[in-house]
Amino acid sequence: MSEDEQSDPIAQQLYRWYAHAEPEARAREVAVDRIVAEVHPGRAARTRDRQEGRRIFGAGLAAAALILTVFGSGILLRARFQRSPSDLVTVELQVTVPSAHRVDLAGDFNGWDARKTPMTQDPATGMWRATLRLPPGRHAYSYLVDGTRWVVDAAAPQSSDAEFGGTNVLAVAQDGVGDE
Amino acid sequence: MVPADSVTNFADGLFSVVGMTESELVARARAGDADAWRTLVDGSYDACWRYALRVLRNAADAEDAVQETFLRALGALSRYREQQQFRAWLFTILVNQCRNALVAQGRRARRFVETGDWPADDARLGVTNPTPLGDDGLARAVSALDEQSREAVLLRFGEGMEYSEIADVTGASLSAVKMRVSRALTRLRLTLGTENR
Repeated sequence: MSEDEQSDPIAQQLYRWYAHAEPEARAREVAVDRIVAEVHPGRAARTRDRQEGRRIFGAGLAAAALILTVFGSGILLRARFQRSPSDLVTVELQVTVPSAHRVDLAGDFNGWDARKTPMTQDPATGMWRATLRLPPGRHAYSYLVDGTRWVVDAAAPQSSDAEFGGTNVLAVAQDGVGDE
Repeated sequence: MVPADSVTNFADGLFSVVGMTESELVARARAGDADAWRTLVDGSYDACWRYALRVLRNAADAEDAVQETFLRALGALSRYREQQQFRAWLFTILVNQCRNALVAQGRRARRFVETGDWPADDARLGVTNPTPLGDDGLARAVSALDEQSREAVLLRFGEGMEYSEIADVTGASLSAVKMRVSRALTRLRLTLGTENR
């Protein structure tokens, strides 16, 4: 665990709570004996291998369908791009969050650690901004408002990926071209 | 401070006493050596049981899920690759068994909260050394997380797994795992902060 996580009171509490459980000794002994008694590698293994094979095949089909859906959906851009000498592309994200006192940005690019990317508010417009340098590709992100709630920008592209349900998605192209 | 090696590192301890590496034990178990299999089971049973209990909140269901996990693992030993960590490989099976058990229980975190039908506290679950009453709030808060976030949080802060290991176990991408943990911590801080007022 990271140093931050180790000093996090919630992480500490989770660890203590999780660890503070042991199976009852006799029940454990019976359970282990039962498991070990099942050592019949021949017939049992063949049966379970067939079951596992069917499950893995089904999962593979589902994954292929999901990938086709994601790439077929099309992704729009909502950001300002500037070309930089390196392979990284400078991107500025802007969002309006009424009544927010603090907005942090979390996504693939900072390990989903919102503390790494606090946004700054333009006093004139009230808009929150953050500037990033990102490699070309697809980046999922969300906004953490006042340290308590995760929000997505309804006006920006959102992820259709089931794994990232409830996030915005930003597609950064090598040429830095974006739609607004 | 949370110990860096977290709850259980069942690659140590019993295996070192036996004097065989994990790979050697797996190879022997694969060949039908019941003693080697027992050593593997003994060395990992508690960790599996703890995870299943925290996910399923029912000792009987947890025991069933763990037993089914080991039975499936036994049948799949021929496909275990030495490059893999045995724990990650075993927990991949366990996580899936727990997901199946949750479906079978017909219970979801949201419904759990709405009906107020909270599971028994640790004492009534038949857990030895039950947690202090104050941690019941944490148990409720964890149960209220969505399934994916709950898995990630338990594996990260309970089992002390690296994010990459959690990604392997749950089938999620590394980024998704980090997102789920981050959001879950935010949710837990909010929930527990509210309960403590």
